[in-house]
Amino acid sequence: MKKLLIVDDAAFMRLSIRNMMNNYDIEIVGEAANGLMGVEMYKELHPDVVTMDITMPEMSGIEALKAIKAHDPQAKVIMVSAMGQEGMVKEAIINGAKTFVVKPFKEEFLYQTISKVLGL
Amino acid sequence: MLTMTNQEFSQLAAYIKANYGINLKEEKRALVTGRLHHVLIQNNFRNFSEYYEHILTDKTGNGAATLINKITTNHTFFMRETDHFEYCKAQVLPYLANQVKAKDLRIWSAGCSSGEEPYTLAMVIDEFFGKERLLWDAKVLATDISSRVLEEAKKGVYKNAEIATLPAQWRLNYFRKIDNEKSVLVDRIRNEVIYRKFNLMDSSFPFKRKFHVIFCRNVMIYFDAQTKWELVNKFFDLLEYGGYLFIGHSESLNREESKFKYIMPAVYRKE
Ligand SMILES: C[S@@+](CC[C@H](N)C(=O)[O-])C[C@H]1O[C@@H](n2cnc3c(N)ncnc32)[C@H](O)[C@@H]1O
Repeated sequence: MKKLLIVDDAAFMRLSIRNMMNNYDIEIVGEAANGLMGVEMYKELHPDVVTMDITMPEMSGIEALKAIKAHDPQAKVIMVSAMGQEGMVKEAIINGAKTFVVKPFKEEFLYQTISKVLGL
Repeated sequence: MLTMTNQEFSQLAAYIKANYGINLKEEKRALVTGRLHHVLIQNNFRNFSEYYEHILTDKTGNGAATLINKITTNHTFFMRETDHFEYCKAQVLPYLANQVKAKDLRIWSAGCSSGEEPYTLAMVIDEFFGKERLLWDAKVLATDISSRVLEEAKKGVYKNAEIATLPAQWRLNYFRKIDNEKSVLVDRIRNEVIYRKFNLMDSSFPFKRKFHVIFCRNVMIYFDAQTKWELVNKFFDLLEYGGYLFIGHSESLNREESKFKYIMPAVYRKE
């Protein structure tokens, strides 16, 4: 099973992604509620892939992405963005995010995106 | 002065809570008595039980309307919680202007009281779009349960002292002096706000399309946690994805339970 780390400040989104992945061969290894926690948990848990919310308190998704990439250049991070955040998505891609999903998304779409990033 | 017995108070409070969501705690008893005193005297009710009986049996709805006009707290003012309007101008409107291709913005001021909030929004919108304003359909829907405040709001007449704190440019562009006491909003702004009587406790919400922005500020403070929770969930369903909910600064949503994304104090987004 591939391991996924969810980074999102909204408990509702973390729960949604967790529920979405219930039906697939993806194991949720951890949930972080801000960028800082996300970076720490990445180092701790070595997930195969990360879903990273863009706007979060403490440390934004983009800052967390940079920190994770600095620690592990191979890290596979998928940005989770909202409508109207195209500029920030672009910045994330430049900084090494693999791709992005725009909320709201369906579970099949999220799974497809994750599998593509993992090369499954 | 008429007095209200425990039973009379709890009965009336239960009626108000069931119908309007407003949660009157025991410490409000004196306030409620005071606000209704006049109504009882005028209509020759001998006590609150008689008055209550009348509310229940009155088919015209006038009794209930008067009750709600008296019970609600309608305090409001222009530019209240200014940072919300600044955020609208700096973030929300630019986002919507870019995103909403049909050029129709749907903005709702829920619990609008005497109109200061929806009119402030209309002025912010007017200022934001400037010359482009005519290309947009960006009327503000403004609703309240109190018919008294809605009538006042529709008139668009305010005391000069009330608008004194607004930017000079706004006073010049958007208001016309009636006399030394009062000014009236120009039609251009007045016509941009549509007033409707609407009870937020109604089980069905009669809106055909979803909103881009909902303001419901300093309204849910009078509701209990359960009522507020249910209403916030309705607002979530009624918003477009990417849409914003503004609540009062003294209120907050439980971050762990809410589906909304926290943006800044009293501002949330459906992402
Ligand atoms: C304190 S005013 C807030 C006005 C404005 N939103 C502001 O923040 O300045 C609260 C308003 O909520 C309205 N209200 C209370 N319960 C309501 C209900 N169940 N449905 C609709 N409006 C309600 C009251 O009539 C009152 O005008």
